[in-house]
Amino acid sequence: MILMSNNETSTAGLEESGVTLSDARLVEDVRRGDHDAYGGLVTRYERRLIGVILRFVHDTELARDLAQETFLRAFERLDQFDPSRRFGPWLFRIGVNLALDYLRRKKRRGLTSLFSEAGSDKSPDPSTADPRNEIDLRQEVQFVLEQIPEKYRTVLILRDLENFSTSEIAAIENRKEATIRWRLAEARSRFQKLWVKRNLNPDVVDSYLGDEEFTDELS
Amino acid sequence: MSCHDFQHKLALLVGEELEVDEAIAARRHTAQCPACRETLKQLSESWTALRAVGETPTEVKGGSLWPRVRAQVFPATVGRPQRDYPSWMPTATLAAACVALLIFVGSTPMLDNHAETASFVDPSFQLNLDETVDPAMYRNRAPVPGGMWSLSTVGQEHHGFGSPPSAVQHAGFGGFNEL
Repeated sequence: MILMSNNETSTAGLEESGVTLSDARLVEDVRRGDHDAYGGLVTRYERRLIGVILRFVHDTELARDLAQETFLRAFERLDQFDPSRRFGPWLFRIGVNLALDYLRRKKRRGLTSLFSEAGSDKSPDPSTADPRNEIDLRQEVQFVLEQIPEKYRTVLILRDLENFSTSEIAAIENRKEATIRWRLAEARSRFQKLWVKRNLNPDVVDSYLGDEEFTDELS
Repeated sequence: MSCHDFQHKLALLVGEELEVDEAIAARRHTAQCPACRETLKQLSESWTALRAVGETPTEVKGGSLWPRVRAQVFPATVGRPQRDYPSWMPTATLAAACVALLIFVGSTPMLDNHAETASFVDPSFQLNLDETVDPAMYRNRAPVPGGMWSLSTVGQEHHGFGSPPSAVQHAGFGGFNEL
């Protein structure tokens, strides 16, 4: 049995005669009581999972906590997992649902803020020449994304920000691929309309006047 | 196919998710339709912004989650040596000990109805309320150093606690002697 320190990642047990063990094999090993096999699955997926959850919650520590909870729930439900399916999408479905549940609870409590990180009333930093440049592309995209209904936003994040294929998203969302393609098209159309409206807002447009990189990108 | 029908096609065209024939049809339409051409331009711009953010990797700080997950999923195996006996062993051992104790206790005379009673009580002890007690019978009895009160027959062998009666005269009261 291998004990790992806090900052150590290990792929021990993942390779057998130079061949990387499949997820299905590791899941089977976990079911037989091999604890380290689950460690292999965790280390294989954790960074990607944290990254995806981070796209939803925008807080690294929170994303890590939710990813940890995802692995715990996946372990508890491992007997429900169909070994003929892929483990990755099943795991990401749990993680995305946890992130969305968190956001719903937060919204119900009235704690949500559209500018959670940028903060429209944020006081200017005197060390910066033009405080309007602080609003970067990432925050603007985030602002627009948060105005899109959840089912479209999820597809947009998974496809255009995290680069999952439509078939992978279909597996994660447990929907038909045709449904995901329709949602993706609808999501992009909604994002485009909001993006244009946002650019037509004079205050926002002004904030980009000094940002040459951004105006070059759009031209 | 109308402009409305092409809206979704254009949204998938920017991400190159249309089949080849669908993509050719969409491009033909936009070449002829200024409104759809403008829509495609806006879709391309907004999609470019999305992709720019997507290509910026999210900064995932910290070490592996595995130690924390392991501590919660397998708490018994973290920092504690694994037991080398089956889980039913303690229960079976306790059950065997109980059975052995019952067998041992069941074989002792104290719980056997047919065995002789242990001699904590004088077998000659009797109390007959109808019997007339002659105080003169007790006058020559002396108190026992243990100070134990008892009813006893006089002149018989003593089997109880304390010392046997002696010939020291006792100026007691009534019909009860202090042994």
